[in-house]
Amino acid sequence: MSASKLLTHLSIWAGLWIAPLVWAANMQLGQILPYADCRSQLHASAITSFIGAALTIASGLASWLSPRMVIGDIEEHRGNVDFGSAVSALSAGLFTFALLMQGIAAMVLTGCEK
Amino acid sequence: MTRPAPAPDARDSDRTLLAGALAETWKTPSGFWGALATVDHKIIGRRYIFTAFVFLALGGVLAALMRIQLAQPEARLLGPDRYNQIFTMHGANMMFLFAVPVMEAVAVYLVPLMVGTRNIAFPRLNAFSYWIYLAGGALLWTAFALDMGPDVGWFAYVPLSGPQYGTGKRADIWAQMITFTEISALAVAVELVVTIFKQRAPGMTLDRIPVFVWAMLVTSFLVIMAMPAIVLASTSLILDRLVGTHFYNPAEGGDVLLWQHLFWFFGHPEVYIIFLPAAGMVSTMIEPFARRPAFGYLGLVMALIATGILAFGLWVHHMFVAGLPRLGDSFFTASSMAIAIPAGIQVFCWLATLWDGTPVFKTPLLFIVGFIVTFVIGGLNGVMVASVPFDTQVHDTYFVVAHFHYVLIGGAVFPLLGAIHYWFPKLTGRTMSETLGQWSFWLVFVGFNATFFPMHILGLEGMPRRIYTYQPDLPWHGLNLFVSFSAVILTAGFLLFFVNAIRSARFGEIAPDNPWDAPTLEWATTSPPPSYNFAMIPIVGSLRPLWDDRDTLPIADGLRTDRRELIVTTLATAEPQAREASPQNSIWPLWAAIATTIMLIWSIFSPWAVVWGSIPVAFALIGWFWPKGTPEDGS
Repeated sequence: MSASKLLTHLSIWAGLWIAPLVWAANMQLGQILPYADCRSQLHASAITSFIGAALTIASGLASWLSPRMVIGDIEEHRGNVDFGSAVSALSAGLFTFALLMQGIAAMVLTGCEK
Repeated sequence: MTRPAPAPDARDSDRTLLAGALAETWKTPSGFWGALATVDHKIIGRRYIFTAFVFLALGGVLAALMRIQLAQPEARLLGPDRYNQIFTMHGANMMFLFAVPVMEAVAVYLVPLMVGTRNIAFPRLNAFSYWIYLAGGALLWTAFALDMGPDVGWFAYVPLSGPQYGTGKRADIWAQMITFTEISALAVAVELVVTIFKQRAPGMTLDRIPVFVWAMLVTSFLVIMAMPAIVLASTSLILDRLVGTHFYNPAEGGDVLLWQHLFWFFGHPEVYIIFLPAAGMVSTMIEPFARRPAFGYLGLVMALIATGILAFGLWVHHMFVAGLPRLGDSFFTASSMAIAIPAGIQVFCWLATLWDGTPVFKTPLLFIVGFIVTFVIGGLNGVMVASVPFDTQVHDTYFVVAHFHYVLIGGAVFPLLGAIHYWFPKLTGRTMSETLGQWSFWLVFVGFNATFFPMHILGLEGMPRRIYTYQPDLPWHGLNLFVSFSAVILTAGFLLFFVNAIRSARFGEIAPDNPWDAPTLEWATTSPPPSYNFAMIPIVGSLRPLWDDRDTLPIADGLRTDRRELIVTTLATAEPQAREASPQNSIWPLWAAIATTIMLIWSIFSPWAVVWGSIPVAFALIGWFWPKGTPEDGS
C-alpha cells in the first residue's frame, strides 16, 4: 500500500481511531490532573478536555471530508468508503460531546472535592 | 469463480450430486463418539444455547429461593451463610454462565450462516471452548452442592475474598470459574472476529453486513479487550490466597482498590458484551415484522461501535463511593451520560422502523416492544445512578438491583427470548407455538415489571442489597411480599417458554426455509441447515439479499467437494482472496479441555498443578495439531 493510499485510509477512519484515543487519554488525565488542579486552581483538566474536543472535531472533519477530496482508486468501492467516513465522523461527534461534558464538569469543580 | 444461478432443471440434478458430496465431506458421524468429536458450529451452537438455558433455569431457582426468603420479615428458610452463597451463585451464574455465553452461543450458530460461510473459523477451538465452558459451570455448581459455593458476591471484592476473610476454598472456586469462562469467551470472540473479517460471502462489503453481525464483531472486540483484566484480577487473587503474594494486601504494599479497578474495567464492558448482541438481534428481527428495512442502518452501526468504545470509560461509576476525587468521578459521569446518546439513537431507529412499517405482532415483535419499554426505563434510571450525588444515596440499595435487572433482563433477556422464537425454525426445523409464545410474553412482561419496579421504591426506602432478612418494624414488608408474589408470575412466564421450546422441538409445525420472509442469508438455506450450510456460496449484492435478489441470488463456485473448504475474502470489500481448508472433526479438543480442567481445578489446591498439569495439556495440544494426513492438512 502506497503512503498516500495509507494516509487516505487513515484519514477516512480518523474519527474512529483519533477521537477514541483522545477521549481515552483525557479519561486518564481526569484521574491524574485533579490533584494538580486542587493545588494550583489552573483548571488543567478543563483545558485538556477542550483541547481534546477540538482534536476530535478535527478528526471528524477529516473523516467527513477525505472521501470527498480524494477520487481515483477509492471510486471503485465508493459505498464502503462513504460508509466508513460517515460512521467515523458521527462517532467523532459523540466523543466530542463526551469531552465537552468533561470540560464543563472540570470548570465547575475545583479538583479538591472528595 | 462467480456465475449467475443456473436454470432450474439443470440446477436440480447438479445440486443433488453436489449436496451428496458435500454432506459426505462435512458430516458429523452418528453416535456418541461423533457427538464428542464434532466441530460443526451449528451442533456446538445448539449445545451452547441449551446449556446456557439450563444455567438460566438453575439461576432462576436460586432467585426464587431468595424471593421466598424475603417475602416476609425474619424468615428462616435460609440462613445467612446459605443466603450469601445463593446470591453469589445467582449473580455469578447469570453473568458468567448464562448471559455472556448465550449471546456468544447464538452468534456461534448464526454468524457463519449470516455471512454465508460453511463453518466458523477455528472450529476445533470452538469445540474446545464449549467443553471448557461446561467444565467451569460444572465446577461452580458441584462446589455449591458440596456447600463450597462462593459467598463473596459476583464481584468478589477484596479483602472479603482475600486470604484474611475468605477462608476455605469458596473464593478460589469463584476465581477459577472465572478462568474457565474467560478462556471460553475469549476463544469464541477470536473465532467470531476472524469469521466476520475473513469468511464473509463475496460482495458482503462493510455496508452490507447484517447489524447482528456488526454487533457480534464489536462484542468480540469488547471480550478480547475487557476480559484480560478479570483474568489478571482473578489470577492475582488466587496467588494471594494460595502462594501468599500481596497484590491486594495494603499492609504489604498491595491495594484493595486495584481489585475494584480491574474488576470493573471488565465488569462494565461486560454489560455491553451482553447488551450489544441483543441490540443486534433486535435490529435484525425487527425488519420482517415491520415489513420494511430497519431505519438508519448507518446510525445503528455507529451506535454499536461508539457504545463499544465508550463502554471502557464508565467503570468508575461503580466506584463512586470509593473515595476517588470527585473531579475524576465527573469524567465518568460525563461518559456514562454520553453513552445514552448511541442507545437513544438505536431506540429511535427501532421506533421509526415500526412507525413507518406495517407491524405484524408475532411473539418476537412482542418481545422487541417489551424490550424497548423495559430497556428505556433501565436506561433512564441508569442516567440517574450515573450522577454522583444520587448514586451516593442509593448505592448498595435495591434501587441498584432494580436498575441492573431492568438493563440486563430488559436489555438482553427480552430480545433473547424473542430471538429464540424467531430463529427456532433455523435451529430445529420447527416453529414454536404462537399461542404459548404470546402467553409467555405477557406473563414475563407483567411479572418482570411487577417484580422489579417496586424494588426502586424499596431502594429509595433504604433497603440494602444482599441482606438475608429484615426486621418486622421496617417499612419493607408489604412491597417485598408483592415482589415475591410477582416473581411467581415471572417464573410462570419462563416455565411456559421452556415448555413451549421443548414441546415445539419435538412436535412443532415443520418450518419452511424462510418462515418470516426475512432478508438475511441464514434464511437462504434449509431449516435446519445441512452440515455444509450452503451448497453454493451466495454472492451478496445488497444489505438485504433475500429481499433485493429474491429469485436470482447469484452464487460462487470453484470450491472442492472432497475436502472441507471455505472462501476467504478481503476484510473491507469482501473480494474472494483464497480457498482455505476447514478442519475435520476431532476428539482432541475434548482431551485438551479435560487436561486443562484437571490443571485448573488442581491449581486451586496446589501451585505445582500449573507445572505438572501443563504436561497433559501439552500432549493434548500436540495431538490436536499433529497432521492427520487428511486433505484438510494442506492450506
